[in-house]
Amino acid sequence: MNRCWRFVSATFIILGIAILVFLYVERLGKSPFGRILKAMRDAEMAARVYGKDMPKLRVQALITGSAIAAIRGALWAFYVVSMKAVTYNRLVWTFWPWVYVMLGGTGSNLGVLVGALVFLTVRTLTYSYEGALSTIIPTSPSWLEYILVGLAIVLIALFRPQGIILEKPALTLPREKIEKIRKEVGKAINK
Amino acid sequence: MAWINNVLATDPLLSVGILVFTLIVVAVFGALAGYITAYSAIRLREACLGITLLAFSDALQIIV
Repeated sequence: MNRCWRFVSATFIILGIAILVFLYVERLGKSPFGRILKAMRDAEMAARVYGKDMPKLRVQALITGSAIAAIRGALWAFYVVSMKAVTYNRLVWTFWPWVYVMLGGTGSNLGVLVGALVFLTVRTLTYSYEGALSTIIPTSPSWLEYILVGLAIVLIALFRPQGIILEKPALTLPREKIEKIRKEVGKAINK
Repeated sequence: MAWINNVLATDPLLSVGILVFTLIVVAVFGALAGYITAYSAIRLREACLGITLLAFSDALQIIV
């Protein structure tokens, strides 16, 4: 009985941690740090004019990203109960995430989520309907997931380079709060 | 192994604590790895930076 519930409970725990990380990244995108990263991406010269240290910001971005990636690797080890550096291969751990990001839409956190969901659903479907697919396509269906990555990258780059979900300008504060601050500032000025 | 599982099964707070502690340690080590990588490669631009990071990950895979 323990064996049956182990993977189910592990899945829900990982899902909970994923939600926490998602909320953290959402908040990070709306913070001053996230805004200056967007400024660095869109107009590096302008951000440098405002006196931001570009190499330092890149180091901070890389540190944040690798910390989140490390949590992901640890949770994967927690899920499969084994850890070998060789199993973290380049296809699954570098190019698949790249496809998720490109498919969902660069520059939006929800887009990455949608991209991962779509890509992994398609991949799992090809995996589970291997027998039915082998009668239709000329090659072995086990190569299909490798073909899928390259095909997805090329098709996205050709037809929809911005991804499924478009990037929206981040609202830093709700409108009511901004109105309240404006009123307070107005009062202070009128005094 | 069995007695470890028994201890963890009877003490849920301890097991959850170990999980959270492990995640924090992992995040710190990941940040450290990111810092070391960034320290050596941060002056490079877009594609060169990507190539260097990929090479770094492959080298680390062979070392570990």
